Amino acid sequence: MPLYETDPAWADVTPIELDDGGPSPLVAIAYSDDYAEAMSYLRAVMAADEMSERALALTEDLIQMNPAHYTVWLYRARILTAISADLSAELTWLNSIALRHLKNYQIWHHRQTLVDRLGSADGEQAFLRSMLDQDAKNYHVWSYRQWLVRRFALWADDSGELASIEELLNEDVLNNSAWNHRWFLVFGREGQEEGYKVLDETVERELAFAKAAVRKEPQNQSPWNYIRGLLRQTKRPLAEMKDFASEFAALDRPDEVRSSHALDLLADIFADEESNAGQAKVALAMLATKFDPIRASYWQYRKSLLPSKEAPAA
Amino acid sequence: MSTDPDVSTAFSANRTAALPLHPPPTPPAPPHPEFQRSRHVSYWKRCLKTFLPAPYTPMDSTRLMLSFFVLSPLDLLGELVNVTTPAERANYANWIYACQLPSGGFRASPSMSLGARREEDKNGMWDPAHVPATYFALASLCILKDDFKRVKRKECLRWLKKMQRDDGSFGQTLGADGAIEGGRDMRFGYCVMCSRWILRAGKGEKDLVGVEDIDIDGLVRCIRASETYDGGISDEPFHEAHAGFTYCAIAALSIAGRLPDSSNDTSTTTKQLLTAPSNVPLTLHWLASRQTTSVFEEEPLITKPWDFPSANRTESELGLDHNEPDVPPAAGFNGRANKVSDTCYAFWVGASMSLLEQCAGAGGGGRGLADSQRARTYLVDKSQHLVGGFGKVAGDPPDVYHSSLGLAALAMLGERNAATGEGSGDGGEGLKTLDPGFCMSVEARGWAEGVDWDMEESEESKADEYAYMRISGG
Repeated sequence: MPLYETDPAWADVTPIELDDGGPSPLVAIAYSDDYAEAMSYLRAVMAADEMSERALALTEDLIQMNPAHYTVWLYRARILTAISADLSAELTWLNSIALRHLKNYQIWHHRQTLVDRLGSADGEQAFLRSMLDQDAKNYHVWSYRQWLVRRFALWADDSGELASIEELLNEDVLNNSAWNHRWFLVFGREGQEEGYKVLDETVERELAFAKAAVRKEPQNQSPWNYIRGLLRQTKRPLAEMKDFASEFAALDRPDEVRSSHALDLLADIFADEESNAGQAKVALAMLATKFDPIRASYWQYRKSLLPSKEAPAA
Repeated sequence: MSTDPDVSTAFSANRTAALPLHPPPTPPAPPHPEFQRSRHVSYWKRCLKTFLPAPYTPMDSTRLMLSFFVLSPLDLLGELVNVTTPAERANYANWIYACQLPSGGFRASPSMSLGARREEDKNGMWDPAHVPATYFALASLCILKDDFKRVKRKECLRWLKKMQRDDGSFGQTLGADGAIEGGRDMRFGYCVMCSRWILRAGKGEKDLVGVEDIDIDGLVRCIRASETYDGGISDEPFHEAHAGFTYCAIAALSIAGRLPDSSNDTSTTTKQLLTAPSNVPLTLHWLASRQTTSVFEEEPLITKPWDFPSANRTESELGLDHNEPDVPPAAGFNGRANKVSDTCYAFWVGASMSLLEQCAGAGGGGRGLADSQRARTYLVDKSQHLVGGFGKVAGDPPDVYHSSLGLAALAMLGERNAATGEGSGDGGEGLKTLDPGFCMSVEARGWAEGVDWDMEESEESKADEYAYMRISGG
């Protein structure tokens, strides 16, 4: 049923029909008549750069059918400003769209525009929590969340951010998105706030947190990467982790190895030590043959980078 | 039923009923998997010649991307010239050119066109040139072996320059008041580098005089800022490492000649250029970590290979064909840590590794650093679909995006397996050689180098244009 053609409110608009570029269009889509008609009217109001309530309603109709239409969102944002629309109501509407279309970039860009203009993060953390309940690793949600932290300076421990991350990691210690956000909360603040420096005790707290997570699940790559990142960031030697890594892998007790990531770290630690290339090679060979065979080519490559066993003749 | 006279909707109603492209879920592939070449050809032929079903509606705004993802597999299969006539291919090119804008670049879809009512200064922001679409248009023209005579080369290069922000990142479109819209992510920088390369690869310099180039140092700085603590690359500083963005960054750097060179000859007189990624071993570590035997959502994400009895080979046995039942023979790739395998990452990760291995001197005698045999098994046994094409994850019905990237990945892996005598034995699945940096065949990419920009427009292409104008009533 044509919705716009028969609507008196749209009688003054001449729709722009689709021109599909000749006799052999590529990838034509069998979309609905409703979509085709709405698009024809959208093109017409966009051509007139019309800023009106009816154009706003039309964008809503289209977004329901095609939320990935990138200019319709920009057009909608411009109309909202032009007609001084109620942005809180817009945000409420947007929540329902976001919960229905989880993998859409435009929705989150639009949200950023709205919340920036509203100037308040009230309710945002709760809404993000409901989004993460559906998909705890949703990239758009985490990206938006970083923007939110920066925009409203939610860095402090009482902002609820760190507590929320601990809760998420408690539920699923494998959630790498949560680990990454944790890193951002610790190190993203530098350069955002004048004079702010990450304290040594904060780094110690983070190391302790990551070590506890490894003890919970030694084969989880996220906290191992986090530990290596902490050491690199603070320019501390990997060797500091030798005892810790040895809790999960010892070269002389292969039957008790509990983590390929511990072996990987030990290989790097041995490689850094003078005259311990031999042990590094043993660790890499253990990875290639038994503890991580799908990366055998990679471990062998790592081994090939080590100095050869024979010391040069004096 | 609607009596709407619009031709496209009349067609759509018609075609939907006649040609269901996506069948209901079918049983998984047979136990001894092979690359089902003829089924892939049928799948792509259907995608090319019939309407895509209504669930593709959200891709109506990015049809140039979709068209590249349909043309490229047919090219890789060597079938484009068999399933289309020269006249059809000329019409496809005309369709692409109809998306070109007078001020340079291509709109992302005919559905965005404001037609005769478009006025650059008044409403051009609602029908803008689009950075990824411009790459997909130029790449598709390479595949179609177009003569490029109608490409607005100078205008396009000038517009690409305008799409760069002060921080070195690129946007997607120019919006109201000249604002650079779209995220700051690597996809746009990558598409700009590809487009720029195609536009500058051919013969003829005269229309490049006075065209200011983009700031490549800026792009490299922007990529370095998005390196993550675990060695991957994200879309913006501090975001989570992601294989799609990592690929776009590495491929853009490769095209720009800005990957670090392991054979860096310090005696050369060329000045030291800014390169990325800043820590190649760490990025290789992150990429190698993406391969995973975790294939189904419902399976545990963490596996302990040492629990499998067969994972006790000696080093001399590595690289041999193993068929022990306990070692999972299939290992795909995820895009982020602790996620399941997804078909498209077989390309994003595999191609990134291939490009980075070259600069790290880690080719491994053609084998590469990934387990290409298990990767092939993942694609052919787990994500290949009975009707042809590939699903996103094991058991999914095929879609254009994952089917296209799955095939590109297979072309890449097939060559690697052929180089070491592994795999299907037919020397790369009968697919053309893939250029990992451009995600199209080496042959198609090479077409751009043969373009002669100084040559006058041929009578033939003029005739094509007139034919189109007659049809469109222009």
